Amino acid sequence: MKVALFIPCLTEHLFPESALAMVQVLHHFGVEVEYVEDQTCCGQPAFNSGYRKQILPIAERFIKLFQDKEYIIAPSGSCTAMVRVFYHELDLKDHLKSALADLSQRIFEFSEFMVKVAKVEKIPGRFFHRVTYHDSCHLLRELGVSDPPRQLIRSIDGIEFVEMEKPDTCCGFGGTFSVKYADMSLAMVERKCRYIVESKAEYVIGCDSSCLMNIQGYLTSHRLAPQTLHIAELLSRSMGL
Amino acid sequence: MELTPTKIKAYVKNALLDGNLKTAVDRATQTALTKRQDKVDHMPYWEDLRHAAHAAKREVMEHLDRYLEEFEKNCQKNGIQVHWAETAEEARAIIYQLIQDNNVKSIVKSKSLTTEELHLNHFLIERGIETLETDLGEYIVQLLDQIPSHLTAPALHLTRKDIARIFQEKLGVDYTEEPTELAAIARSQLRRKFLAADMGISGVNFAIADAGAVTIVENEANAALTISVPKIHVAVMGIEKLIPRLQDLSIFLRLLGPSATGQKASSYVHIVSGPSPASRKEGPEQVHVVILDNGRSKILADPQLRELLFCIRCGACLNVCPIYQQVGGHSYGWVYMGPIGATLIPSYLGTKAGKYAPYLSSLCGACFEICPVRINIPHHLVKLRNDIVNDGHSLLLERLGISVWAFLAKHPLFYRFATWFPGKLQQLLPKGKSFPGPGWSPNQRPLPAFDSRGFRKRLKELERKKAI
Amino acid sequence: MKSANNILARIRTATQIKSHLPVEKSEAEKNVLEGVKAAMPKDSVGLWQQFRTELEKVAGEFYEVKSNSDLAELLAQVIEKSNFNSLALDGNADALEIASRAAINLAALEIIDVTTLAAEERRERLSNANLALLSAPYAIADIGSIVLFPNEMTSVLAHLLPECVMIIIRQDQMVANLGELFAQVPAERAKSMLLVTGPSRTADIEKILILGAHGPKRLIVAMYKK
Repeated sequence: MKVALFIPCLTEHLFPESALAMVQVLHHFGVEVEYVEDQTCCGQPAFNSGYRKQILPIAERFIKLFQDKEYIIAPSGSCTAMVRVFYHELDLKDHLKSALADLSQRIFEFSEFMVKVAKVEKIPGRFFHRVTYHDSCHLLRELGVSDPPRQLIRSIDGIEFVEMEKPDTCCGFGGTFSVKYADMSLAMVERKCRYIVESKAEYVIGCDSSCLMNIQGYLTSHRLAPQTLHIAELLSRSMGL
Repeated sequence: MELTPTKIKAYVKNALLDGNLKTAVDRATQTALTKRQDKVDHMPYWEDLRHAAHAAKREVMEHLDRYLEEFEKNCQKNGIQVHWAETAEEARAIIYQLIQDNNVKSIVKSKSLTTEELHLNHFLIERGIETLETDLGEYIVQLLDQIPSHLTAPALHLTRKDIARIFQEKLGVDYTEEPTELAAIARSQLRRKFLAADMGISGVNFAIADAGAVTIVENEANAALTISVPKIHVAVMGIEKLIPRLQDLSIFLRLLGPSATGQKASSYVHIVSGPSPASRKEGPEQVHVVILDNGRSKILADPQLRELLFCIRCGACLNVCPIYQQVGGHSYGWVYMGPIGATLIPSYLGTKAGKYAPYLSSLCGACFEICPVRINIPHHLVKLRNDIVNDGHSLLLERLGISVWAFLAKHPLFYRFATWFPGKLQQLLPKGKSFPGPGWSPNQRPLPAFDSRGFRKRLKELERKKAI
Repeated sequence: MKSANNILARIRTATQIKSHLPVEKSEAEKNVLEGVKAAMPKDSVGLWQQFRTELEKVAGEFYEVKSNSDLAELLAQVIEKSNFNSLALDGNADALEIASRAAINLAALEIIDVTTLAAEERRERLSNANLALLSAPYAIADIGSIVLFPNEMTSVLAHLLPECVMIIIRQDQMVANLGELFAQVPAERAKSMLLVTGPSRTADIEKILILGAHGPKRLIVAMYKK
């Protein structure tokens, strides 16, 4: 099996470890990876802010770069959703539309791929810590991914998995929302962190670095004990990679 | 009231600082959600109900002219007088004419957000007509001269202490915080008014095309008294309130109860198709329906935003919205609030006046998940943001930022530079410090440190290591 | 009607533009009907038991009666226990007979026949009445509702103004759900209908449930069981 890596811009610039961990894990399960040169951004922040026209060339670029790949994997639910769900709303030329329709069947978020395509049932190794999980909004509601990450987490020896209160409540990032309505966004991440602290988990696992960045920022500045951990890094740490 | 993003941000900030408001809104929304979930858990066909309701509303909206004509014809056959109002001004004029023609001095109203949209109460009170809200929440809010803060629970933002104070101040009664006593005070005050009113004005939950009837759903019996005691009943409805057939009520009522208040069924469902028979010696001698456009046909003309007209005003999206849950309804600045409000504000008020609204959302999608008629609210919010940008109402700085970003995204070399450069700049900052997030205060949410190598370079390093 | 024509014209233009909306599953309505049917009790005993459960969930009170004398006894008990002193009737001859029977041992009970009063007086007297006794043509089991047809009633205010309302229904008038009701009752009749589910209520103060908002505080259903 060969997968093409779709690296979100946030991951590229700020959280390369999560993607590197993802690569290590995939290698371990015998999956070959390929980095598509010249990939940049999927266009989500601009699309969500209302700049649909500007996205068109970006989307066209993406489709052309990735259309021949057997599988495309991203360590992010929101970026995967952008391509798999929202690109369809754009005014693409017909041949790109059909390329997109085809591509959409083969693009996955990482944990989704692991469980549904690679059929991984157990993550080897161990992680002797108490963890909880945060459902990223697009991953949960646009892609319908709720069980796969939980299955992967639960399968690790020694791990104690607890659900926090309302794990599917938005962390408040919302891209430019966190800038436009910073106070509101702050109140939302404050509430999310309260739930995390109340769960007494040492780590909060998530599949989207954007959410984790938002949450970690608050946890750090308020000197709260829990740490954020991307699911790929949880897996690679457990496996000792 | 001109609302700017700055004003709204101020409202939001103040709301967040208001501990009482937070407690009140949190309690109210949680209660509603828990009760709703309990009902939904016992309805394995819930998703099918939502699809069926969406289909019925879609059918009506796609052929709205036909259904409205059918509705009018059947209403008239039943003895209901039908009026049409293109604008809020016209609607007010129609109602005022009825008031003058019938020498109406006092009016009782049951809950109708459509009449809030029309600013009807102020209009009538200015002209010396006593106009009293009778829904307990609306009654309280009217005493405060506020607008409701929720679609179905108007006084959700108030505590019993607030209400006790208002009653003492405005009604001259002894101070009591005991909810049953407060309700009893309102009951006796309003009972007198019901019995003396010349006209009752209600909203409409569902207008039924094939029956020529209007449906009013409530719990308090205030609507029952509003439409059964006075000699004249006026029902005000937007053009979008239509459903095709009487039996469609089976679907909509099953969705409305749990979604709005977490009940299986509301206490009273009135299906009204005309005045009282003369033999009964009580009840309305005249029943009027005012059909209102006021910008709805414009929304209908948009093939995507048309879905916004499906809304049955249940308020479930408000209850589940992580923003509404913390700030309540007044932060949205208009009579329709929460997620649906965020879509309706620019749709009714225009992209300039309403430009703050669609951005008051993190696009989490919880509203779409809960909407009983499956309105894809986040989808419409993004579209409205697009409209706002295209109409030239976005900030210059933002447009510039997006242009820069778009350039980087189209040119991989520059994109890679954008990885490398901040990382190098990072090294100039003192150790452990990072850039402030734009708009984020650094001591609340610091950004992580930039790594000037970025993933691409580090992957190459990793592969090199492996090859050795 | 200029406005009507303008609005309709705008709507016609608007709807000429084809919708971008998703087309819904055509099976949905059928699935709902099947789901509702599957949840229905299988026999009439099950139906009224379901009605009772639902009614009591919304703070309604339920009693079984087998005869008019049963009903008179129940009525007398309710009046005595609650210290009621005025009973409103809507002119129904049976109800009058039952009420008279109940009143035999009740000293201070005033019986008001609403139909003998003019509109003005009705409002006043009904407002002061503690209890009203009415009969209803149908009841709906899955939501515990009483069905009334206001146009066929001599007084609608009789079930709204007093603080307690007792409604008589017959077991064979129980239907499973609203859909079944619409199937049984012709549209001509059903288009002027009122569904009453429990006493009036509000939760507008801190979401605390309070019964008897503007209407009755108590709803009693007496079901004639064969």
